[in-house]
Amino acid sequence: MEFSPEPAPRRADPKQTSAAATQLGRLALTLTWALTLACYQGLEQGDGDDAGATSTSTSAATGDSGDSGDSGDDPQAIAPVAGPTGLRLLTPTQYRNSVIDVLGEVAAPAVGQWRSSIAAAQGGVAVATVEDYEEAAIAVTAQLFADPEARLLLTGCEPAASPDDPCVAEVLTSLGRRAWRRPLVADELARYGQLAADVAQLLGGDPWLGLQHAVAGLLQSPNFLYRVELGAPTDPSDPLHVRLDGYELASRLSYLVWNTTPDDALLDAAAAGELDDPAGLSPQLDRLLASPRARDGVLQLFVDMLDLDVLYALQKDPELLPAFTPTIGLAMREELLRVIDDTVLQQRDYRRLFDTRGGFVDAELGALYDLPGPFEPGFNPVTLPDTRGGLLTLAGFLAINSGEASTSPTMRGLTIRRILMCQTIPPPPPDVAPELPEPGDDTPMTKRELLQLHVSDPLCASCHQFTDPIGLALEHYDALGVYRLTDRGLPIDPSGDLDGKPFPDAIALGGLFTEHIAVGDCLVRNLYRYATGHVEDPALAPVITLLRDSLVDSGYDLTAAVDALVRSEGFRYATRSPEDLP
Amino acid sequence: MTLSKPIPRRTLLRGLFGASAVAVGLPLLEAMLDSHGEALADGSPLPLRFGVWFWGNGTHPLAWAPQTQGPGWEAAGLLAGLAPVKDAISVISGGTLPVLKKNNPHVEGAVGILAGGNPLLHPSFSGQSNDWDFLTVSGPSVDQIAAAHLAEKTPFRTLALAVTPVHTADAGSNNAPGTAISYISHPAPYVFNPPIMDPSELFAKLFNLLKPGELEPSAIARAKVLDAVRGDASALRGRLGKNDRARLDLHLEGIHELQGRLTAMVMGGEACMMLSDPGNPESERLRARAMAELVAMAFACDLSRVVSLEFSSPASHVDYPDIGITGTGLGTSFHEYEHQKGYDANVLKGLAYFMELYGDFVAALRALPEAGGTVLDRSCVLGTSDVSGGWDHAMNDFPLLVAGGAGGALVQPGVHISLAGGNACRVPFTCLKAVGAPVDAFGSDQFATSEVVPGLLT
Repeated sequence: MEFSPEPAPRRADPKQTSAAATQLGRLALTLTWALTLACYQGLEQGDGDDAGATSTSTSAATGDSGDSGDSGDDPQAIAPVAGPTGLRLLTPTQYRNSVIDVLGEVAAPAVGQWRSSIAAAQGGVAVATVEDYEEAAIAVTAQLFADPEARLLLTGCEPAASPDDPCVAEVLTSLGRRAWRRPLVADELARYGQLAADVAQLLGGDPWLGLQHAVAGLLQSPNFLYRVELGAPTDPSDPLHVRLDGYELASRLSYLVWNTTPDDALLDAAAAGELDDPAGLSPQLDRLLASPRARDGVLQLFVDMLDLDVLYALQKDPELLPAFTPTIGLAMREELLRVIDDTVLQQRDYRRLFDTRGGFVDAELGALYDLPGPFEPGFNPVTLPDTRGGLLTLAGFLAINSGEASTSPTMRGLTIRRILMCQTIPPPPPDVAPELPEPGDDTPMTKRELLQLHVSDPLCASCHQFTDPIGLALEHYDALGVYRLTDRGLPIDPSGDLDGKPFPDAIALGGLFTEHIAVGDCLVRNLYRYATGHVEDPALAPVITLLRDSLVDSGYDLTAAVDALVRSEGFRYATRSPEDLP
Repeated sequence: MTLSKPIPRRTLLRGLFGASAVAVGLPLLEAMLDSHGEALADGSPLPLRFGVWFWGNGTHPLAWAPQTQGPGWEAAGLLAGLAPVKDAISVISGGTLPVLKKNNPHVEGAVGILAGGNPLLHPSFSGQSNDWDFLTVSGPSVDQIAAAHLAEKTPFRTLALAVTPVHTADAGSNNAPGTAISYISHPAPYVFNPPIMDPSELFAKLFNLLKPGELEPSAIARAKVLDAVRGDASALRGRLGKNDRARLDLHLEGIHELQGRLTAMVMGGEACMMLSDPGNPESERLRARAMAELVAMAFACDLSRVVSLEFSSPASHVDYPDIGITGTGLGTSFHEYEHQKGYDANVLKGLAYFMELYGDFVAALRALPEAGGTVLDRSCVLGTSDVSGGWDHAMNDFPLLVAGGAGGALVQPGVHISLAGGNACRVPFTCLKAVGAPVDAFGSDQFATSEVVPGLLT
């Protein structure tokens, strides 16, 4: 693994803080709340109200107050309210990344059913997945150990077929620590040493085969497949509030920034107790963020948040959307990742994601955007046509949030409220038919006209006013994200208003997103969820506020919020529910 | 599919001698030898089997049931496709599924009839309108309850199969952390058996185990690796809270099953034969039939005793090109069309087709002779859906069919019984009783029942 020698500057210079934008944003937040009263059940800001741990006790603050390492240089210390403990299954991507980091370059598949951080914290595995894990572990270790040079590079020594063989013990100790993200205890080393000896004897006395199977076992163990986040009470009389240990924090940090198992340097820091202290976490975070590996890791947050993996298997009706090809979804996904990288990680300003004109296209995507070309093979940085501006107008985002044949302005608006603003729109009343009427061919109507008919009932309008203007602003882009001038032969009117602010079109709507406080607030909520695997409890409001302030004060630099998160109690502590005491 | 020559039983005992020679210190193998080997050696009766055959979007609640009750019901109308096997099928009409009407009706119905409970909502759900992607089961589905009783010793505790694509393409994402709109076989909430969709893949999985010869040392080595993994799990288990312990226990069950599969010694009955690879037919009907024939043989060879076949998911939006029902033809998916048009001729054609395919499955089990009868004689195959009416999500007159003799426990020839508005969950409960599952009740909350369907058991 390689790191750039000097960590790039990350924390925002206070001079650059955009006080005006902050002010505007807070105003917008107030405005949102005022308006939401109109929707019949009320619009919720944030959506973790009945999720996760229910304890709101802050007693661990007392239990922990004597620990100078914790509170010493953490001026923003808050009561250690925190999310639940538990087992977090590796996502398929984490599984693949982790196997490769333990073994080196092997053809590791992405195994598992639960692909987002939130889903993997809840989901379990049935036998079919256990079998996939088994076959993958056997296959990758067989591949590696079949190559005498590669296996010697991995082990650094020649094993012998004995339970006490020092080479086997050494390999299990070092690989085991990488794989399980903590040192193996004596029982565990003995179990796998015995396994290596037994299998070697079974398979003709070949110690390499024994070791190969022991390593395959390490990769099937629950200690590898689950991130074990159990913590330990800081106060014996209060078993519900626990602090994650250094190894557990090393894992949290590594999967948060690199989306893979911790490297030796991070595990060494955990062993030395450096991660028990927020002051020790920051340098490690800097180191991880400075590595090229941080790109894919941090981008995974957006893969989860925007559900970008849908693009791997994008399905559209090729008769109605002739630009659709089986490969265009992959190109769209790559473009989105590159645009997010460019704005969020390179320009260090999340707001730019909503108004950038920079795109990245291959020939296929260039044609979709009606760009002249010619294009070099691969992805070309381009300035997109002036009909595009920001995430909301990028083909991939539009294609994900559309049906196979047609757009749904209400669904697009609903999704954007939910995933980019963390706002909840109540479902329609149960007796309302959710389908729009089909106009006859002789009386074509635009989606706007159809929706206006639909929401003539004030009860319906009370919620649709939050979704439809956003969705209708995007009607110039069809279900594949291709720009169009008309809908059913009729002109499209993309104007509307966002929480009281009028906008003429989608480009201007993107501009309003750069100012809306809910947009940054939602990013840090997603960050918290991604890092911890669960939706924030209302008791975690102080953590969210802390993260949002860090984001805003840094000029919307996500890495500033990551730093605030890593140092926060919400990251370093956890809460057991009483029924989950072992 | 063609049957190739029968495999002499002797060669099926693969690994018997090899295992005893090399499997020193592997308790699992010893255990399997004893129980599994003796079961066949002492001529004890062939096992019972349990199946769920599920289709999405229900039927026509006012028109599906036969006109007369009791034996000799007429396979007409929507049930016309059952005619070739009607003697083996009982029709239970008039059952009501007491859903709360709080969540998506298709999920409430599927979880209600299969798991006997109200769906659980994922903690990340925040009130957005599409709750179906956030819902999971209340507890194990009926096939898994049956498997706990029937299938402990078989290489495949459950065969989970699907014929058409499941409902949600992005299952397991932030947008779809639930399971119950797409999957029907659940060992527990948030754990599902992902279905095999390609008959050729099912063939390979099953009949790889029928290759004659001794158990290879490499398979024993892999089983030994899993022993070490089990040791890890036991050590971790004690440190976990209740929920995570349950998750890990299911993982352990999977490891145990896989160990059995790696070291399996297949000792199927006289009917057990190697089939040929059916490929992956483009026709959904042929796929369903190929799977049915493979399941029948898996039962006869005692590779498995439990099947969950999902012809289509709850609220399925798939096409049925075999009968000319396609989105292009209808202007929208079959289910959307159903919502728009109600029970018109196209919809009734589709509903009749689903019954015909259930009949195909039953016919495949009956086509395989076994011990003087057929595989179907020792099976119970529950046919059901997620709603009664796909058009209006009705839950009255729920579609419920029970095929097979369950070793003499189910009345044969089949009868038509009306539950007269009673709890539809009595039917899955009766099926569990028919295969001898040691349960006194099925379901929770308003679904809970301990009553069997009168007249369905002998």
